[in-house]
Amino acid sequence: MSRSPSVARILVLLEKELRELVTSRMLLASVTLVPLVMGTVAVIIGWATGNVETSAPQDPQDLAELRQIMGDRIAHITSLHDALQLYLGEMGLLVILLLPALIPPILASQTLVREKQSRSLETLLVTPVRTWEIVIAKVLFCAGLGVTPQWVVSAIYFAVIHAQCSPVALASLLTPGWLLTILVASPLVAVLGVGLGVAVSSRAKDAQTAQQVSGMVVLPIVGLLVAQSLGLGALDGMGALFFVGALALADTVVLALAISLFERETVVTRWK
Amino acid sequence: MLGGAIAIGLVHLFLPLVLAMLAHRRWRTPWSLFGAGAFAFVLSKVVQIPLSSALDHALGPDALPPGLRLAIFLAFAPLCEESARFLALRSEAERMDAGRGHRDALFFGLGHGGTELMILSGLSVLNLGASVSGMLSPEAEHAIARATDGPWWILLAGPLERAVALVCHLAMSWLVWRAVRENTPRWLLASMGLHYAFNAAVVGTAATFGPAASMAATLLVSPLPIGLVLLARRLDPISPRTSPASPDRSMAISCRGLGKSFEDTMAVGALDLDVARGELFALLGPNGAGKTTLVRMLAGLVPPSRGRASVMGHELGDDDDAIRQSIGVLTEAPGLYESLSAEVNLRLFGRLSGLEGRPLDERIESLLRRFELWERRHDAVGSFSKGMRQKVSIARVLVTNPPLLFLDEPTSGLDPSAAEEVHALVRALKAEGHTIVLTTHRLREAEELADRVGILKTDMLALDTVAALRKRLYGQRVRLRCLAEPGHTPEQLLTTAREIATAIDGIASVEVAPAREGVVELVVQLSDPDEQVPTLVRSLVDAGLPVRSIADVEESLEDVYLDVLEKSR
Repeated sequence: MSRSPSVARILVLLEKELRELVTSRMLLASVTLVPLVMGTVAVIIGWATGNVETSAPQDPQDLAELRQIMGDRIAHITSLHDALQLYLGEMGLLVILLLPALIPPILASQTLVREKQSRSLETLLVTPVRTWEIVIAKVLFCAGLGVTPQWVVSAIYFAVIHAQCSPVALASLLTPGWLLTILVASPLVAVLGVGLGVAVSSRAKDAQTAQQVSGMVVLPIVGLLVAQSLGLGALDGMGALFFVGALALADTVVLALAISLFERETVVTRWK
Repeated sequence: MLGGAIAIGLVHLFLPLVLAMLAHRRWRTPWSLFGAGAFAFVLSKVVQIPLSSALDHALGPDALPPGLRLAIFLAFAPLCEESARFLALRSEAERMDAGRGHRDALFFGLGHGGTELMILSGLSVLNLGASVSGMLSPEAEHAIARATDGPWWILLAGPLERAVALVCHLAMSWLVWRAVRENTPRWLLASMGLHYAFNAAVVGTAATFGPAASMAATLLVSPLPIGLVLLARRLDPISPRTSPASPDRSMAISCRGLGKSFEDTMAVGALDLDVARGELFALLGPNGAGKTTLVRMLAGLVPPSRGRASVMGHELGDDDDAIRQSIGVLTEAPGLYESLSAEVNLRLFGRLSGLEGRPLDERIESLLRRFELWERRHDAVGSFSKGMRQKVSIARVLVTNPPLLFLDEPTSGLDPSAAEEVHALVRALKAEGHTIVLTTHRLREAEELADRVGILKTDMLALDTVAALRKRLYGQRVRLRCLAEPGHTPEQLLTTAREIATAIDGIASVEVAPAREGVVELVVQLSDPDEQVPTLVRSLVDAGLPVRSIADVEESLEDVYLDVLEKSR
């Protein structure tokens, strides 16, 4: 079956991005160092979670206090030890969630800066390629490089949790809510970051502005981390569903904005 | 109901028009126009309710049978709303030559049409969400229905109606945006049609026949957005009244009144230009004259503010994809991916233009061999010299073998031997049948290579072959050198020569150079050289100034260029 011209062009653009990534130490460092650091942190959290010690494992008062923070999620857990493992385990997952919010905006800004400096976008725009194809290729490339390491780190993290923690804690972590967040919400967060980066780059005069604005996509994740650690909110099944829905809506708006702002005229007349 | 319909019509027709007029006179910034458009819509809605109640009260609620009242209600408001947008757009078309009408219309239209459709789409989303999750109680839905008045209430009918309403309103939003952007009211007609169809099918049937009929009508109206868009694409655009003549599609390039303005700066005036297929046309002009902007417009990179053009038989703005398939543009900067090799760069651009497999391999090899880069095909372009990078750029342009080439400063920054290689290549490309538009500051390059030149400085100041321009500017000029007989002072010789030349009919101007070592030099501009030269020679000889040599004077293109620019000041 032959591919449509648009799909073929997007694949060519993706290949070009990958080839440029392989030849650029700066970009390679961006996409490898951050996951390495975050992955190491997550594994340490996972290992520490498995080795958590409680002085009074069955103290009902401590468990009740933890229930106040974690809510109904630990209603079925009777052991303080298991509840603490789940609490720490969730913190580790939230740290991993930062990955797709960190890498794609950095990558998008850096690749766009390169394109601006080499004036290669103008030569690209005089080919039959359409502007939305360029934006989609950029989004897929940058989001893919944010999500893939996150999934790898998540798999390692769950393996560590499986080896170190109690089956109760593991089962409570492998909920549909968390899986939905990792498998669906994370790519949406990545797309949001890249979309914002592209949209802002179309209007911003320098790359730093674009990077700063698109980097703000990390804030909701940090907010989630803080809220969950303080017991102000939790990412349960409905929460994850709401989160995914809100992200999907935000992605649609931001992508539409990015595509409409990424006009040929803007790129050739304003991108200096 | 009748009063309501009248009120809706009047408010929706006149309020936006008056506000648009005021906004255009008082505020000229894009976002204030956007705000004025949005305000016009909101105000229409706010004024509509008390006005329709008052009119209903005055005319009596039962002035018309229910079916007719509903028909008026459903038909009148969309007609008036869309007419207001249409008229606002048409009035802006008159201002196209000012270079700002297009943008003003865009922002006002987006503000007015966009706000309505955003609100309706937003309501549809909210209602759809409320319906799916069951968040709204029936009482709450009825309360909202009563409060919102007008046809919005029907958006609360059921999930399917709400989904269709959302799609319809998004489609209308897109149609209005497209109409204003392209200044082609056909899209507004499509939007109007959709507005009618949606109101009649969904609102009308639900109000008259109940939810089951509404469901059937919803299913019926679902494909309308796609159908109307397809239909609108087939219609010829309704051009603004100031529309210039049609371009000549048999030409490689044909422009009629083509121009571009950025904010308050006019980059390119209103150009009429034809470039024949196979011609090599040189575009000259000082920095900031609009050369690059013109090339960008013709390449479909920058939309024109006014006028029309066709490129390789495709109308600019309507068929830009086809235009980009048939052109190659060498931009001022090489624009290559410097970390990638020469071969990968060419392969990338070839594949983006739809070339694949063996034809692409062969083309890349032949180009790299032609430019003597085959041995270094695997090296990163960033490691190449400037001349080599320029060669790769030209190879990039040629990889798809397009019939029309735009070469923007192809020898800029190259040493003389590299520049000569490029010249040879340009000659070869012309011999192969390519049409070439060459933008350059090197006037000798243009003189040597081009069939015709155009001197651009916002407007086209001169456009012809170099010889024709020369003749038009200077006429036929001849240089005569005369030997002076002894005994004359230099001043006497000069006076005598000038008197003789000016006495002959048809000699437009005479320049007499100071006599040196007994030689007087005259440069005369003749209207009929065959008749005037023998007369002039005879007169000079009779006056004691025997003619030693006669030669045609050929001003360089540089002289022509500088004189044309000087005269334009």
